[in-house]
Amino acid sequence: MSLLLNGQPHYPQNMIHRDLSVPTNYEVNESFKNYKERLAEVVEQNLKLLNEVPLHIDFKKELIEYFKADIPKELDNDPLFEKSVELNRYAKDMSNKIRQYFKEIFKFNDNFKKSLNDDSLHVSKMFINSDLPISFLNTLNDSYQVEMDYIDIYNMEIKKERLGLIVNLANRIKFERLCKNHNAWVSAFDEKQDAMEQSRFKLIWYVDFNNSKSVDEVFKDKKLKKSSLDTSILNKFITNLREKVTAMEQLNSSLMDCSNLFLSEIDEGTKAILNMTEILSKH
Amino acid sequence: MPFGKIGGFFVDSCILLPQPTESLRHSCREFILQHSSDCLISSSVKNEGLDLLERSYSIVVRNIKETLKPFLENQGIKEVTNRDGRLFAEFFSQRRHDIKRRHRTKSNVPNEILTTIEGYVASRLHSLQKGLKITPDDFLAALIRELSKIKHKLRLPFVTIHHVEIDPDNSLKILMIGKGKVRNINDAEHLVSSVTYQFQKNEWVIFVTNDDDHILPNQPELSHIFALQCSKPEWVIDYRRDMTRKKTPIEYYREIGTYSEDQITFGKNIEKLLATNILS
Repeated sequence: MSLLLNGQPHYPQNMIHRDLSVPTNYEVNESFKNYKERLAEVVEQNLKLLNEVPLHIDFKKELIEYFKADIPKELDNDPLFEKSVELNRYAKDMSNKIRQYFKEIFKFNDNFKKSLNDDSLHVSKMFINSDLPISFLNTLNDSYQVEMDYIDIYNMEIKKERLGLIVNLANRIKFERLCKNHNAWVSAFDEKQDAMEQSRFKLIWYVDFNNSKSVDEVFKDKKLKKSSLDTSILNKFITNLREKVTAMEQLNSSLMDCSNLFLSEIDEGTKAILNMTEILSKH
Repeated sequence: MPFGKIGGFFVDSCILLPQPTESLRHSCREFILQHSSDCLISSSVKNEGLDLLERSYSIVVRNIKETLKPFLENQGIKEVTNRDGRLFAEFFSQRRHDIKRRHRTKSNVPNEILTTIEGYVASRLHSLQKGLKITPDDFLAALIRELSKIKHKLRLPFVTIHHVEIDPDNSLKILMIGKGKVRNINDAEHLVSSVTYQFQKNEWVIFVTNDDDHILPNQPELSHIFALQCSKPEWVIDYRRDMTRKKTPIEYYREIGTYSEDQITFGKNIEKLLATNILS
């Protein structure tokens, strides 16, 4: 197993909230938002989120301007966002675009998982260049892992649903019912996923922005110091995210496939943690 | 005559964590796959497992961040390749020397911990593609990300299998350690939780474990005093078959008739705890 994807570390572009959860909801036939509308919506969502992060910086105005100008640019160059808009269009017109949806969704989800994996690397790097508590690292990385579990669950469930949808394409009543059933289980997950993502961004932004001297340093590699933060606010954000992670984890476990619970092979990392558990339980 | 039902299989943490040998791993995996819907974990097993994983992961991560990273920085290392093994070997040798100087006790724990981390770091360094140069930060962050992923995978059985919240009673714990001869306090808590559930629900349970040190050798005492059956995963179905032929746990205990002193102590404790009459 290679340690780094393609041998090269991939840096995250998605330290902004992109709202990629949309393609999970099916509509039989409904008008959809175009690309520009979605883009404007995402900028708005990010600005709203930014408003909920306590900042002790003197470049807040520049940061808002940066958000307004740079988010559209970032999203324009983000193939994952573009694909999510496309998939959203298919999902909103399921009866006509079902084949396109199922052709694209699995690849999209694979890329989404890769992007979460990159974010996890970035957060690990933030942590080793900081004096932040280990709970910062643990909680953030756990949140990426439970989100990846949800993507696996989603893939597994829609593989089961796909045949039923295709077979009943000509039967509008049955087709509508299948879409409704799908949306019913998915909405519970999406709600938790969205809440968890928002908490995650707030925590990362709180730490990153308050450790930046100017807007140019935002999202760049730097030393992160606890002294630039209010410990009680930091802990509140970590606790809040932990609650969201636990809620998502509980929901995931209701649909988790038991055969996925056990590692079939023991690699070097697993061996290290297991050795450590043995040492700790012996002494 | 009411026959006993099986209330579930209480699994020990050693069943849920990957076992060192392939045959043990296989038997645990097969057991869970076949019986997952009947498996239960007590809060004590769940907390012990999750806590152990969290502490193990934290020790490795802290060592990487607080000792290995400063060492690489002090050495002025800008790039890491799979041919830098000697540099890392020097780091671990220095650490071993520090440990020897600081820990003058006979405990070998710090060394065992360091050896585990050394083995892991060496394997990951050697797994880097030939010719690839990465910054020390990227290398160390990749190690931490990988460990986070593994820890999460190892946690999954503990958060997915149906969990039963039981606060193990103190006097039963003392009895388990003293008369049940289960010397490990954590194991005593797991067993008391299973027994409590068994009499609370009046349904038989089997405690599934591979623990040949503290639990399985004490099966005679566990059966005699606590009416608790323990088993390795391979033999669970055999014990289950036999138990369904017995009466319910309460009926079974009532019908013992002539009790030993330890059985009376246990019976009185359970009666007090559950407000149910189990001694005839």
